[in-house]
Amino acid sequence: MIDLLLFLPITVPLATALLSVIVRDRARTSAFVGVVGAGVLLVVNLVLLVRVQDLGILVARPGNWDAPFGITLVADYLSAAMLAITGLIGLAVSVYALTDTAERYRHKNFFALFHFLLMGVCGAFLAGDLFNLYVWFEVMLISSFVLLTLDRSREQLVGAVQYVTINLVSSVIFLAGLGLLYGNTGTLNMADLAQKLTLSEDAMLILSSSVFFLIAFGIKAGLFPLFFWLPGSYHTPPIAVAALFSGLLTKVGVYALIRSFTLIFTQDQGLTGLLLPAIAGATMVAGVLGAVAQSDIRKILSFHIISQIGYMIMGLALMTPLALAGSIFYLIHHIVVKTNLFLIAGMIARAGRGFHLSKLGGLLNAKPYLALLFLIPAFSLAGIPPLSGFFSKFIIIRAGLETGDIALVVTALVVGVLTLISMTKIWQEAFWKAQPEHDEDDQPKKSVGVAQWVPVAALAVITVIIGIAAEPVMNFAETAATQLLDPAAYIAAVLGGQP
Amino acid sequence: MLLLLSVVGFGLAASMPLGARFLPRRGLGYLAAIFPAAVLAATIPVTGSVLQGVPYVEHFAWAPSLDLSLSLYLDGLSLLFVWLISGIALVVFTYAGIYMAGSQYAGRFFTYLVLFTVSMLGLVTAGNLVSLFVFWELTSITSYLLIGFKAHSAESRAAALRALLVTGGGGLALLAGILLLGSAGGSMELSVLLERGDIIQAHGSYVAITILVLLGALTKSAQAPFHFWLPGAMAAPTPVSAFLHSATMVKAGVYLVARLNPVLGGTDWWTLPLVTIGAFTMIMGALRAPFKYDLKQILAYSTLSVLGMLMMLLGLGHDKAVKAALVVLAAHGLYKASLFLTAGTLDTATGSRDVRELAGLRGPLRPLFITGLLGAVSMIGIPPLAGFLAKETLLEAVLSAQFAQAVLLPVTAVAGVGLIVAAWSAGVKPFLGTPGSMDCRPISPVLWAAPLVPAVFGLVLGVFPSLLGPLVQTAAGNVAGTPFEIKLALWHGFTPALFLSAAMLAAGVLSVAANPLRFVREDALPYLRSLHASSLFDSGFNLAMKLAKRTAGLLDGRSLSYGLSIILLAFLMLGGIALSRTGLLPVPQLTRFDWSEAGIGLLIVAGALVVLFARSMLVAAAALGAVGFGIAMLFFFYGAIDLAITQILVETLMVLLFVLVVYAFPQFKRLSSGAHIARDALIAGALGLFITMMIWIAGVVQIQEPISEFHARASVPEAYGRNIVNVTLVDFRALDTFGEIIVLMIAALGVTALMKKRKAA
Repeated sequence: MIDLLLFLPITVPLATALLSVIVRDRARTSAFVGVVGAGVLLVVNLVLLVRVQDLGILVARPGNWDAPFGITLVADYLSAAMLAITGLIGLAVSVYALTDTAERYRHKNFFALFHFLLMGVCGAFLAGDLFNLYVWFEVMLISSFVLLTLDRSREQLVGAVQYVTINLVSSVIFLAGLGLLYGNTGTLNMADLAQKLTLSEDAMLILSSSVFFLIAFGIKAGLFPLFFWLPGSYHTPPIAVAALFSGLLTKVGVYALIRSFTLIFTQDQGLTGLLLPAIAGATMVAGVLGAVAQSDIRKILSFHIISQIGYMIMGLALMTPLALAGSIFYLIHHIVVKTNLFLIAGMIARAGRGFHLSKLGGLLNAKPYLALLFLIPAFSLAGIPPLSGFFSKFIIIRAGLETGDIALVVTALVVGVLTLISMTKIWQEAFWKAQPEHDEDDQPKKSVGVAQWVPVAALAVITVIIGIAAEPVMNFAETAATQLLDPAAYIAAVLGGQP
Repeated sequence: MLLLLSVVGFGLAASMPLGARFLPRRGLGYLAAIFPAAVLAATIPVTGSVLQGVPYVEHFAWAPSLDLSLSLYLDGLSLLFVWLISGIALVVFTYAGIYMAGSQYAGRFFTYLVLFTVSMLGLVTAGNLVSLFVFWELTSITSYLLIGFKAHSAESRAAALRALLVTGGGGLALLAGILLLGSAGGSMELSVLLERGDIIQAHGSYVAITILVLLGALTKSAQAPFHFWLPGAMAAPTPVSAFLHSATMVKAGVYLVARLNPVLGGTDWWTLPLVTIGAFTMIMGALRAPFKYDLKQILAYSTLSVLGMLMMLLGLGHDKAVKAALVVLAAHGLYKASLFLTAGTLDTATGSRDVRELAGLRGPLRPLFITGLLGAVSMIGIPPLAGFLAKETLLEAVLSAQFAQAVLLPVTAVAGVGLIVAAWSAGVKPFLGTPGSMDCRPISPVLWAAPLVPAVFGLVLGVFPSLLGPLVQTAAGNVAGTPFEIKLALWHGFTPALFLSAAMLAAGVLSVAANPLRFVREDALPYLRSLHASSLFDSGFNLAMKLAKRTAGLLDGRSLSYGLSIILLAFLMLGGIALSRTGLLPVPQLTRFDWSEAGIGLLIVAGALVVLFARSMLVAAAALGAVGFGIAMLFFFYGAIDLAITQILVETLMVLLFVLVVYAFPQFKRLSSGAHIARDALIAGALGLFITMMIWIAGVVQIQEPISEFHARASVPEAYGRNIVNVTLVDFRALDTFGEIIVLMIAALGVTALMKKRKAA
């Protein structure tokens, strides 16, 4: 039964996607399939989360070939948490998309692509084999590429070409790194790699190929200075698509970085200790500087993804149990909050006139509840207590103080102030400022749909709950971090033998 | 208890918009006032033991693994603040219910106000530094929302943001300070830390802790050079100014300093910044207040001055200074609240807050005149009001200061004179003289009765200082760390302080007679204005924004080749660092050299070069095909027949498809300049070199038998297939193949969508 459970996060979205193609001519059925499929995925992933907490690391072997000869799917705490949160985001965005996106792009297979993307994301979180991870990256890349070009407008195509080219470069570098690693070690299984590299005397030499993975995953994660595809493309697709991307895509990159640099490339702490802190700091600063200069809400939010990724990488760079727990806490918090902010941006654009701050205003009085719903994730992102973002920053900064990385801590604190500036910028311009005069060619106001309120409110509530229930979340993150820092159990679960 | 307080308070705050809908407009203030009244009532049972010197402590775990608990720590110091906050909240809420009755958004206003009150009460009763910080930040946020309440005005919005950034920035420093303090002291619990002052002062991070904590406190309490946000905060509705920006929130910094005095105090790192910055702020505020003509600005600058005074006293830290700080705190809260609310009523009645216009209002607003008079007399420091008591203790404290008395005494005296003039302008002057031409609307009795309450309290405490005695005694013990005897009396005998006080009063009268407002020029000294801290802050802010815009220009995906070049350069750089760490590279042995292999290698390189220089897609596709076939040949030479066959099949198909598709495409255009191409060639060349070196290493290091050996062995007996490539694709690694099939399928979906668009168009 456990075996089956590990396949479900891949097969459920697959089945939903295929079904969506079949029923795409019928509006209501299509919507039903799209949302229910996402709901089932959430349930499956939650069950998986519970099972992992009960039974420890779960392993499945497709085709029954033992590791390292076949492919393995593995779910530890980190994977299970990422899967659960993916299910949550999938459901929230699929409901939100019912308002118009799903219908408008129904004949372009919106829901099929949506679920293929989820499938790729889930697969990446489960992969216990580096080449398999590559395959899931390809699934994500191609489905997100098609989703990016749904309108085929000039703006979208320009963004999509940047997106796909840079990501293909990432794939090529990933593949080259894989080839080198396989050439050296003769294996692709992550646990096996970890073991072989620990035992090898030439590990230092082989580890120079870890740079390939740092760059390949770094591009996916949006690290400095590799993130150019992100601000170049995230503001172009329909907002539901942008929300899904913002929540999940870069985080798969972060996940891959955390996984590979805690499990596989652990022998040369000097290299990671040298590179990662600098990259983390630069990513925080570059992202937030980009954000405060923007005036399109989507662009502000896009740059903030980069900045926040910097915090997660800071946790990875410090590599203490507390710091890694902070990264994991940050991941969980960030996915919820960032997706929600994009979704809210869509509602702002409907209630006002578009995404540009110069066109917006007066929304506090016109839509007070939207204002409240904006404030929760916005303040959370800026790290205001007692919301989820405060605890994420709190843990990471504390970890930085404990290891004495003062420069990183100062950077993190200053970036926090700048984050607050850009969130208040949206608030002041869209909500406080009076509604500006509008030209005739401005887009008209539209009503905000019920299907938009519900997921946005739900995600806001979850943000608050993560704050209030900081203790259980933190305990979970600590356990996950302990698992990551002591890969023996992971290796034993995959390869057999005593941990 | 603290949890209960928070939950009830937040619940009440959330219910305010509902209340606004269903209650009569004027009732909302009373509904909100239930909360501070309940808090006051709740303190009664514990008051006795707290005044005995036994703090009331409760513990409620929130997130133990983050050292965060909702502990309650109520000692004399906290109790003094709780009473001050809830008492003034009671008055302000009642007042604001009427003041804001005309506003459509009164519900929202009270939500913010109640939220703030909960946070402020949480701040002063928190027994855990992390939860103290949580409440600290919440007061900054609610203050932001309240300052920007009149959101249509750009000035309000800018003032709100300035206040948030200054206090929020200080808050982050405080966060770092608290974290360091917690790890130095081994706990985040106040009750523990208060016992461990010695350990913490001996700890290596003591200096950093002190600086960070003081940064938090000084920004929150608007000390120079961070003071400028406070006068700007006067953009908020007047009840907010009275409550947050005079009586309560700005005192949070004072509270923090007093609270941590037993832990951090007593060293030069603590004393010197507090005394210098405090004294400077005190005299700066007091000298500027008399030259303001907006009632609220006069009061704001005088608040700055008093806040500075409090910081200075806490910095001095001897027994008399601590005592003076607490008495000044209480007296100031009372008279400043009543003066602010008086200003609000004057504004409501006449529509003006300009002291140059307001005159002769003692007739139409007689009860308000009494309020203003009581407030002003207390602020001036004339017996028998609490303000007199405050001034006497202040002067005594400065007279017994252990150092810098020669500077502090004149500074304090001059500041006192400035405050006398300010008090006169704000509380008395509008009521005297001949009535001007302005109308005076009738006002609700609440608008003069509510401000009268704290003013009368000031009178009562002045006449019966013994009422205040026990609380000040306990609180002073809490601040000093050890209890000490305190006597509070209106009459001290003919002391130096009394003579000084009288001299200051005389100087004050002369200054009032000189009418400093005569010297105010709206357009005076613009170049000086640009040196004001607020202008400096604004130009700093704008500079940062400009810098961000410049940077953003570099970061935004300007063009694909720009982004790609940077990414590849980063790759090279990191690769170089990684390679340099491995030391000397091993030199591989050239075991054999085969001309045919070299020939194929050259063919592949030539194919790649042709792609680069091709003018048409067709040529490029054909050249790519040549590269592919070359690779297939290599496979062939190494004996991997099955791989070679697969590769040939794939290449053939690719080239055919490519040719079919790109047949109609136009020729390539050369858009790049020569320099651009040279740069790209350099990057590409370097990258090629790097990859070659990596492969070089890979050829040397081979740490174990590859898993493909297993595949070769198991292919026939276990997977029943003779072609390893096939078996690998459909069995060993079927999941990968499955994934790639999905990729193709998604691509097909994308293409159909594309075709559809074509048809529709």
